[in-house]
Amino acid sequence: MKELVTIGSLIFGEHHESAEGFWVNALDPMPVLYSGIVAFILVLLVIGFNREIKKRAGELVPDAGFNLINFFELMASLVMGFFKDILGHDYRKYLPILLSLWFFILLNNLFGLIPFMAPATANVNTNAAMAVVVFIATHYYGVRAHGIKYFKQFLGPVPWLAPLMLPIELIGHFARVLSLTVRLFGNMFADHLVVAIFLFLVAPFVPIAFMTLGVLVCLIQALIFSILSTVYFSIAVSEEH
Amino acid sequence: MRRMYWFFSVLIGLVALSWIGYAEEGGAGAGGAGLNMGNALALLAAGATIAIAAFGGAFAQGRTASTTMEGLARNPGAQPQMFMPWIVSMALIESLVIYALVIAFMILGKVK
Repeated sequence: MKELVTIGSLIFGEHHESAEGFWVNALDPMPVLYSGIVAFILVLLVIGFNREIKKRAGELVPDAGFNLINFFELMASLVMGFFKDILGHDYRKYLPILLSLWFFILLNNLFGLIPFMAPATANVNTNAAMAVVVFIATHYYGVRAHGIKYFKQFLGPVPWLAPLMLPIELIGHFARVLSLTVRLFGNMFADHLVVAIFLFLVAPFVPIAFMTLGVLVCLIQALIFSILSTVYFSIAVSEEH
Repeated sequence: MRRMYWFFSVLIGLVALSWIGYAEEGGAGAGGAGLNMGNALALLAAGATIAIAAFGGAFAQGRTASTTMEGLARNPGAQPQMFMPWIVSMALIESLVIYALVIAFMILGKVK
């Protein structure tokens, strides 16, 4: 495994030796830079999108071809159907965080396919940060929708079952954070590692098959993260009739 | 019934072979590099983790895919409706295998 970590550090550009084995991945400063670059690019794209929208305010027929408005409309429409289905009629209140997650994760994953870059999501810290944000947002939205009675949800359906339900619900909530983190991290790290290994063991152009699979995995994992966040929000704000 | 006898006899055989593990008493101190008992067990654990997880995951995903194909064969017009839930369920099942893979990486990271 030390050889793999060395190969990984050549690819990933790691510089820390104070953690050992698997956890040298967690002290890597490069993903902060990469996710910062991705966030910067996203902000530039969105500023351009705003300007284009204002220029063509009120026109019904979109321009043909690949311009900024059509790009964002395509990428957002891939997931808006799911958000509308899961969240119901007031899904627009949750769009900022959900679409941010979707675009951020998607762009981070896709950046990992550039030959000498690692996806920022291949590091545990990026994913843990996003999962903690989703966790805090769930409770914020729940309290905002239901007031303090939101916490009755943890006590289960029947009052005398509460001492059993409370630990189970709490563990379930923390397991959500862990599962969101590890799912995205495992997929991205394993995929990137497989491509890196094949790159070093075999001829230079053979891993293209794995990178094609990698595009699919990137898309699906970003989708899964967004959809699961949506489901958690909808559970938190659901009206129990 | 016969299969259960085989299974239990293999288990007992493994327990009987455990005397091999008592050769070096010395825990962390015996952890030199190379193929001592600690490293061997760690490697075995990592391999078994991902092997069993992959087996279970493949089984579950196979069942999902087969029922999806069956439904698709009965009603080919439902294909646009069926695509996304199928992808989502496959990814959710696969995530359990990925948890086991991460644990295997952590175990391998402890091998000196």
